[in-house]
Amino acid sequence: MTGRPVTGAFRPSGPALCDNSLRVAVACDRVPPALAALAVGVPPAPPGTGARRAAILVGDGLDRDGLTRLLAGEAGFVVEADESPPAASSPDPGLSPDPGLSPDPGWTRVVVPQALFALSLSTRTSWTAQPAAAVCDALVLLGVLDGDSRGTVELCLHEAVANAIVHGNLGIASAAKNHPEGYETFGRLLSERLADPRRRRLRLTVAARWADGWLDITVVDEGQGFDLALLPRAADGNSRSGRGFVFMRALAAGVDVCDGGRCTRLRFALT
Amino acid sequence: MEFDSHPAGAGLTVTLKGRMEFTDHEHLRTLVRLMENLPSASVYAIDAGGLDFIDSAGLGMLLILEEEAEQRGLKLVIRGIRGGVRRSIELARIDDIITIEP
Repeated sequence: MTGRPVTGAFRPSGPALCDNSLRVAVACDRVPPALAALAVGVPPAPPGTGARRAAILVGDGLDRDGLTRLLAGEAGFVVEADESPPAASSPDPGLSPDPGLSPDPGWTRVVVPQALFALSLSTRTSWTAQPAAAVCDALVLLGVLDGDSRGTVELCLHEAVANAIVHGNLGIASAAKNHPEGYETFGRLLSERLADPRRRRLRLTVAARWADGWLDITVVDEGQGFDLALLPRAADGNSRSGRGFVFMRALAAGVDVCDGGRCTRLRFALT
Repeated sequence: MEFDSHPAGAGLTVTLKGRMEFTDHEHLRTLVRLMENLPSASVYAIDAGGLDFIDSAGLGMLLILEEEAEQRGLKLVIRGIRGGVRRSIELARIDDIITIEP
């Protein structure tokens, strides 16, 4: 790969990230390959159509409002830096006064995409920053969703994100709830796994693309996947698990699970 | 999610606010503990009028509360559901199992 990463100090437009925002967010043009792969085939935004950056690399402190603001207007890709940053690359000294964050040299170069945004967060931040709500907030701000369609998209996306975090990256099987006092076991496992340094660093990736009357959202985790044959096909009020997929299948125009359960694609018709 | 509770006759009313979702699992034990010392046949009412969002995990928590109430001989009712919360409850057919009041 040729060319140096373009890294510029960046101050987000609002206070939600951190007062010391120079140390928590930088604009860049490289993202993790798995994130870039979700934008393959997406055309670049026409030049001169806005001030969006290709990507923004953020540190600690991202919350729902900050994530919404970044996705809605600041960047095509939002990437949370790893808890243990990669070895220092060489940010352009003309652009950056050593903001403390830098993209990994092995990341993939991206441009500002048209009608797409994507995020890559740690499980730790995904747990607190309400990424499904933030994605829908941003889609409303961009005029892609209205108040009526937002509820449907948010519930489906939320279920896909919850599955990716709990069953995927935290590796907690639904069966943990399937016995008396199961919720105590489930709660203990959640606490233990969220404190596990390896698991809390696993990534949640979400990409939203809107074009030709359709909204397509992809949710990817880094867990072990699951057996698709175990998914329920219909609502059963008594079941303790699998209800999220029932919601998705009932409300989305399309639900596709791929990569052995590590990837969920949702499709919605835009009106 | 935020919640509060206050006595209501011989029973208890628990008021839920905000979003009831998978990250709220830690509150479940507390909500169950509130059933302790309630007399048998009294009402454990959940006022969900301030609830803006519920996911499948939140519905699962309501089912667990229903089971825990039944084991203690309590009557669990949910009141004030609206909007997307009502849709989720009906879509999952939870209203076949739990008593929903206006």
